[in-house]
Amino acid sequence: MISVTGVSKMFGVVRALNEIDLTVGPGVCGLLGPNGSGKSTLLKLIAGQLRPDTGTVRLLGQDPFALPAALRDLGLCPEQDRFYEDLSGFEFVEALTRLHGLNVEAARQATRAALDRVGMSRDGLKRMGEMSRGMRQRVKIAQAIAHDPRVVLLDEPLNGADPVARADLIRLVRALGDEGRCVLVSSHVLHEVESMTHRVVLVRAGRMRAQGDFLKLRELIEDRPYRITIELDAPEARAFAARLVALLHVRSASVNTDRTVEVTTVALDAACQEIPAVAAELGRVVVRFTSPDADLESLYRYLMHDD
Amino acid sequence: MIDRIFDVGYRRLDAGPRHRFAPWPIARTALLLAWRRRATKVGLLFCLGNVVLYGGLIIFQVLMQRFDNTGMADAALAEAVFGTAQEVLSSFVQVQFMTCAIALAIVAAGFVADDRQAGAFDLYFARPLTRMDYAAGKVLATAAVPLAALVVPAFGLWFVAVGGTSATHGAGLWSLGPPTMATALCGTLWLTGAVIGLSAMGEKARAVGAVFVALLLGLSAVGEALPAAGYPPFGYLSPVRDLRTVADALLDVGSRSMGVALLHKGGPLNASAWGSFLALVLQAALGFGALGWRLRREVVG
Repeated sequence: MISVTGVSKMFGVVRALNEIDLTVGPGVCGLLGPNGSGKSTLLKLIAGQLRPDTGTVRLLGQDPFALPAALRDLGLCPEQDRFYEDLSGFEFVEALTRLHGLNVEAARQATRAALDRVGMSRDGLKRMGEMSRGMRQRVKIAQAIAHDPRVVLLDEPLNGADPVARADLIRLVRALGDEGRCVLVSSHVLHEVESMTHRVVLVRAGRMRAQGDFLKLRELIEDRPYRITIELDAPEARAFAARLVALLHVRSASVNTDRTVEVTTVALDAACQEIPAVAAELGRVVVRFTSPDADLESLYRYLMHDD
Repeated sequence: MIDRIFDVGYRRLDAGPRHRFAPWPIARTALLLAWRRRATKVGLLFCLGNVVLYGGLIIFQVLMQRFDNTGMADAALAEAVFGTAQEVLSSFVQVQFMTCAIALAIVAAGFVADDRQAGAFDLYFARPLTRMDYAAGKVLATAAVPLAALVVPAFGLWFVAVGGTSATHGAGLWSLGPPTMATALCGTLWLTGAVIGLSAMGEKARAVGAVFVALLLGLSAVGEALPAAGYPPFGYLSPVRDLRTVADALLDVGSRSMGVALLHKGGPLNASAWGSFLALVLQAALGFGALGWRLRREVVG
């Protein structure tokens, strides 16, 4: 649905994006990177608001710069949230929805449905200036989905939302992806992206650092073995550690307490399968199995902060 | 990424034809936002005040002419004191032009400037809109104010004059309609072009409004003072003088009566009515050009 090929973008002497290649299909995809990494520039390029210096951008197979009509199936939720303070949320969404060619009645119907979907059917009649940041965030998302787009770009959609609203918005984003829309979410909050999707795109200093399922990407980082902490139901950690060291993928094993062992391994999947079996050979049961660096945060840390 | 079954699949919203005139909703939103401000209502109230005042004059004339033959009124005296229909219409257009300028400084100064400041271009141009759609929407919204406060009332005054007076007097008033409309449209064109151009260049509505009024007054001062000092071509710089010249030429005003002179003090005219018309159009075109330049600069087309 989104195809970016060899795209570079300069702002004066600053290279904001450098030879980016990216393909995003239906479902939710997280766009991650530190401030200034080029995430917003990439979203603007996809939305047809910036023209690349080199390379091509295709939105649903069309060039968004040459054909504004290609933007008919795009919904954009930009990062800034102070637009028309004197309009109600309903009027704001309706006005923008009408720009997609919907007549007044259809636009109102679509607006009601979108506000209802983001949980703003009652508060949507408030003035935008009177809304909390979380409410404005929901209204912004409503205007992005009201016209039923196939591609939705969300720039920091959870900013300012309270915990309950965040949980609701995460559910909404997942639902949008489950409906077959292509949802590209830019965010700084890694655990929230992780709860939306496993598919991520990591951008650093304008360059593509990685893209794909973050669990599979994590497996590709061979120089950073997984740490796994295993707790047994009985104090036999020493014998258990001795057996674990014999496994091919285990790099090291250390005894933390008489029931707890910490191992490092290069293959998390294999470890998940074999470690309980080793425990069973000793007549023991694994009561706790945790890996602190098999999540998105550790992947991000390794790829974005380490050289 | 690809081996995945989705819940319901994408379904297009059934919303009928999707080729509607995009500038309407843009103009409607701009006007709705302006209407929410109290200052807008105050500005438009001043415009309404002029309409009531000049409407009263026209109605008075109509009544005087209607009852002229009965001996209850003296139409000639009324004309001498309160002016002919031409004078009233010409004066109305010029006075309302200035009042509209102040109203526009309040209403329309932020039409583009506020969008730029709030980053609303991101919202607009992530939709199937062209720069021309956006520009047309904003121009429509801006022009709506002088159209509603200048052109429509000017037509109304003329209509009252023609419809209310006796058949003998009314026959001579029919021909005043097109010139009155043309003069009012000239004023509308200048006001729309100037304010939308400045709004496109500025970033804060209040600053744009202040600059717009200062520009109008400054150009008028220069355009009146320099011709008086022996440099007549500078008279074309003043939009007020240009409009006065166009109004005088189109409506063939002639001498000024006492009543209209009290409401609106006339002044010297430019040598060429065509020159004044072109000066108004050129200044308006500069404003529209500024809007186009801004959009070309900030929006990928």
